[in-house]
Amino acid sequence: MRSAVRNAVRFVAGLLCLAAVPALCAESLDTIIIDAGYDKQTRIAIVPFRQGPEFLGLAQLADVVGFDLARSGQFAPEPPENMLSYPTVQREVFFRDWRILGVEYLVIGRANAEYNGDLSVSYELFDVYNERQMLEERMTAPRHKWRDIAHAVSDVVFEKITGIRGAFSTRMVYVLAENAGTDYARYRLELADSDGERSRTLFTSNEPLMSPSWSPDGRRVAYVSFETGRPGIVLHDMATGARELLPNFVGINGSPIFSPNGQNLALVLSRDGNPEVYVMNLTDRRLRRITRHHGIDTEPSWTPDGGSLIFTSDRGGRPQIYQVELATNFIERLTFQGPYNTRARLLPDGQHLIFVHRRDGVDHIAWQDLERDDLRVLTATPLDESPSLAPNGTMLIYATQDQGKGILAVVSIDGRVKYRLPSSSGDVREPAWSPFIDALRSNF
Amino acid sequence: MAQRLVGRSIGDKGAAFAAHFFLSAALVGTVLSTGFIGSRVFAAVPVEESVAEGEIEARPRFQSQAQPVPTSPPQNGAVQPAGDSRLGELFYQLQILQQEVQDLRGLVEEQTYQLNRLARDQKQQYIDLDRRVAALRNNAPTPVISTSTLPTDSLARAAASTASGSERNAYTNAFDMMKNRRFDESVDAFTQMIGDYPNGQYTPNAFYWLGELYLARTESEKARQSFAQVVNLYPDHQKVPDALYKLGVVYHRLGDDSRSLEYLNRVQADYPETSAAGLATTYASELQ
Repeated sequence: MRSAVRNAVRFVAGLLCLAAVPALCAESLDTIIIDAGYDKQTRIAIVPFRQGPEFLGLAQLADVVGFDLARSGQFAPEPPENMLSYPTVQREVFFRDWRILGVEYLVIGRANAEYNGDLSVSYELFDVYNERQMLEERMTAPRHKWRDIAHAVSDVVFEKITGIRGAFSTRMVYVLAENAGTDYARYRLELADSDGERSRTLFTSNEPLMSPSWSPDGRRVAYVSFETGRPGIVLHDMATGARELLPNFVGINGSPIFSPNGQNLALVLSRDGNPEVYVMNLTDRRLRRITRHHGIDTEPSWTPDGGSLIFTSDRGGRPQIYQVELATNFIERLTFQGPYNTRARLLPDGQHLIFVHRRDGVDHIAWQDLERDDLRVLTATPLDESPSLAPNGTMLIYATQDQGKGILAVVSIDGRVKYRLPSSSGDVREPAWSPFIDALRSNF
Repeated sequence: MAQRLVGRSIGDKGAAFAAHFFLSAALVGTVLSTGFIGSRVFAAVPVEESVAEGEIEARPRFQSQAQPVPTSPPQNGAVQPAGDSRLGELFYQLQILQQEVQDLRGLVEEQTYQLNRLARDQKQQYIDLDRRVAALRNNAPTPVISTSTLPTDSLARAAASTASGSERNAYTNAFDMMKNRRFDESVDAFTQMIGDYPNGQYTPNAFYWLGELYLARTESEKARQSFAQVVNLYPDHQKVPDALYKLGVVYHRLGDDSRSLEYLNRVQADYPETSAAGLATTYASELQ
């Protein structure tokens, strides 16, 4: 049963690839669902949308939405070939047809081209058992935002049914390394949709790029670049492509991460001999030193309220996760299980920690409930690193290895849904999931 | 992190974290040799020190080897090279001390954590125990029911309080009928209840009272079957001593005195503390 679903999803993914511009597809990440986890998935039918000849060359919107929902692990989209009818407006809907299939929800819709070239989509969501319309909406966007419309539809449908805000319209950035370790090494900072499609290069360098992270408004990305021969922190404007190299210091300049209000940047500097965590005020560029210890203090991230930093330190002999309250500099250790815990991020609720946890010498992504101290290992692959959370806190993306190659993979917070995003072009690493963005109106 | 990538590109990811030191040292070296770029920018950006430093002041500040801490001249007037080696020795000892302090710190952190956990768990256990004792005190243990008198109404209701609502109702109804001496209706009600809830919480009780009712109607064989059900199907049930005693009575009525004595003796031997044992002793002595 599950493998049938998996094959169907792969089939849909293949179709998507055929439908999209071939050149883009070669660059984009493939999405392969490994485990679609939940025993009880919501059955949903997304009827192919009515798309006129002017939509030639664009993906079938229903395929994109279906693949989005399938990837969440919570939905089992009905394959179109099983459908008894293909309604596109409400009066063509016969609920009996859908009850027979055992479908709980139904999405229908049609697309139109506007006189100015924009594309618009009208769609409706139905509750099959109660025979009632739950939603009717119309979206319009320029032609190049066709996939954004599809993801926006996925977001709305997902939220309407699950009550959780959808994150399909989000983006991710990651580092694509080609020929790493050779004289011809090239490092690209890539931007892609959350499904791995439409990847495009933001910046290319012959020197390493690393640690990208998003500003909370989704307009900027901070990362570390070795383009000057030394590590420096770059603020990259997504809309204009403008890059600003922050003044750098002796030694390491690393791990930049925006505060929740976007006004400060936490970072790591080793200008005093060993790595310490600092906070830079982005308005006046003043630095405040946060940690002071002869051990290594690194990989800061913020608590959702912005009042504390989580960081990795080996002040206790081995790398563990600590929290420092910025107002008082009170330091508290958070992880106690295992000899090695690093690269922590807090879930939006501030109560759960995601980090790299070493068990039996192998690095996995783990989840910990800070109240109750439960620790759960989410990934079964070795060499897992750099976890980054989706803004709705339901999924996380991380870097791992597959046959000696760096790939990206996604796992749900409960560990039950897994998919991978390998790249045909090189090693991919250090993913960063964007915050919620208004993809229909954004400039990137 | 920089060190992470470097660690991996040299093919040794496991040492990535340790490579922090390696990399930072290497970077410091690079910058010192390339000159002033770093320090110029350094001066351009004001650095505000963190406020709470009380914890830190007590600890010796780490200085890189490139800028040795000036020391007081050696007391014995030794020449400079000897001072250098002594400085090296001091630096080495400092590093060892730092490592040791870090290890100890880790140990203290872990033990503090475990201590807090233990204290928390203990408190939890105490609260849990307290709750259970309180619950026991409120629902006083059901005394072994004397066979000569029917248990009081409240007792039956208390016993029934934890069963599922409908089973409890059926049991209470049948029980009330028996109490009101509507024996025939009560027999039907208990039989019905056993049919409806064959694995119910009160099924053994129902069998027992059916036995009592049949005994009252002098249907000794049916009474024997009912009591035997309690003894054979629910050997751990609290009604077993009473059922054994009643089996003794039933066999006596059926004319099988040796079997009767067997059961009466078994109650006395296996359940000496119960009132059923007392009744069995009396009955046995009368029998002989």
